[in-house]
Amino acid sequence: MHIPEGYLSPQTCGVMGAVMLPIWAAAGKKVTKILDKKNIPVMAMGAAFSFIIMMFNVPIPDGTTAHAIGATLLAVTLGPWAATVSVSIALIIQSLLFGDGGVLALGANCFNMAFVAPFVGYFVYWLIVKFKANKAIAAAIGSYIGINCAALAAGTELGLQPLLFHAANGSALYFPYGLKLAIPAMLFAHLTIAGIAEALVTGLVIFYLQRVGEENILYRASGNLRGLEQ
Amino acid sequence: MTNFAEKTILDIQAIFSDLFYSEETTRKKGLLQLLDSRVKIFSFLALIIVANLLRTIPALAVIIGYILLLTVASRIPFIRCLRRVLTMALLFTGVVVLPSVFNFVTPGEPLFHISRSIYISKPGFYGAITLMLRSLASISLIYLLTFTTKWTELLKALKVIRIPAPFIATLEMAHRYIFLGLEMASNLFMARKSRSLGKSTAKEGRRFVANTTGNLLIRTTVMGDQIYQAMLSRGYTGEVETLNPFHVGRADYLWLIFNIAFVILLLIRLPLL
Repeated sequence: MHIPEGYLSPQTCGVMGAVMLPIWAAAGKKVTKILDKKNIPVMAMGAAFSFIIMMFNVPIPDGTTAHAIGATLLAVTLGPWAATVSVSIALIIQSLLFGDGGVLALGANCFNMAFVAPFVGYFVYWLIVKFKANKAIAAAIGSYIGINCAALAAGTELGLQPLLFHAANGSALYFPYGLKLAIPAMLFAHLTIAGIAEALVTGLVIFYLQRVGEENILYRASGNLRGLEQ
Repeated sequence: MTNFAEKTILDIQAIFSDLFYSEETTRKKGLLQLLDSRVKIFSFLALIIVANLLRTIPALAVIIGYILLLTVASRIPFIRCLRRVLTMALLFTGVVVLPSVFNFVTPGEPLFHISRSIYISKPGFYGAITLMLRSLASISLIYLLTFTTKWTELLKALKVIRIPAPFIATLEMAHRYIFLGLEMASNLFMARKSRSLGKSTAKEGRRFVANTTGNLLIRTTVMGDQIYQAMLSRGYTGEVETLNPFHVGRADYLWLIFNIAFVILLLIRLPLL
């Protein structure tokens, strides 16, 4: 879902960056409030973890492999605000060091994958867990909906480009497909392949944590403890 | 599906080798390596914005030519760099934009008829070329920056634009532990790969990936705690202090003046072409 450089106009990138700034600021404050001095090591390890799982090839039912983002997984373990910071940092390192996703497009990419995905995923998870459902299933459903909302956001950002910017002769300057094509294409890929990979990994990881008796690293289960333990 | 482990191991290896290579080139004595990292990062950011603002194919061609010159002047291994940039910019973007050249996606004046009703339209074709060149220019600019700037220098430059110190400290620390984590992950996959005989199902594969992820999650959490304890015992108070020496020399001024002139020329003159 990483939007590469050149697909979005600099104006769009500027707007998305401006949207992300207050979110980052709020996330930083929130994380420091919950974790106090421990904020930097926790967020750094979260970012490293996020980077690593984006590298894994997950075998999916159709015989190929896909990558997961792990945004909901991080939101469920560290809390959604820390997930925003962690995934953002992983995305920044990816774009600066490896050219994965644009540097100007960082605002947009962080909005989709580091804000929309973990928050929607966490909200759905929280809602389902409230009804005493299994946490693994709740996380799987949350991550599936989260990643698809992120794909919808990415499709919208891309699909707006030909409407907003085109040359005098009508040829596209940036991403060439309009909303009618961009959104279905993005959603189709994520409703099927990427979404399933994300849901399976998220659900199975929580299941693994439950099985090995490490459920205590899930957020909320120990959320209050985290603030107090020193 | 049997090779999902192999694929992951190779991907991780590619990351290590890429990083090793860019470390090597940052130490070479080339044009861009001479510049102060702050001057460099800002001028490259500006160049990327300019490359994204340019609207005509000739203008984009000029900036790509300029990037080629910089690559040669900075002694960057050409073939290796080119292969990476071209796969991303031309192959990947090429596949993405391919349907958009036809008249059923982008209507307009016909350029080349495939059948009576299906043809490649002029706006579609030029739009596709513009996006490919734009993506080529911006991706090469990022690579040029990372191939000539050490990560620590890059972070130092970020401090100048008043990005909060805790954020940069996190970035710094994350970067360090990514490689430790990647090595752990690679070992886990390698252990699995070397003990596999015959075919395993996709289901087993998924379970393995999930278990590995869960295991890494526990390990990174524990490690985070340990790092924190280690920081505390070395007197960490929650405040991040950084040293920030700044050195802008004559080469930097020359570089800035030349680039400002180049960009102005590019933005003012070329759209008229």
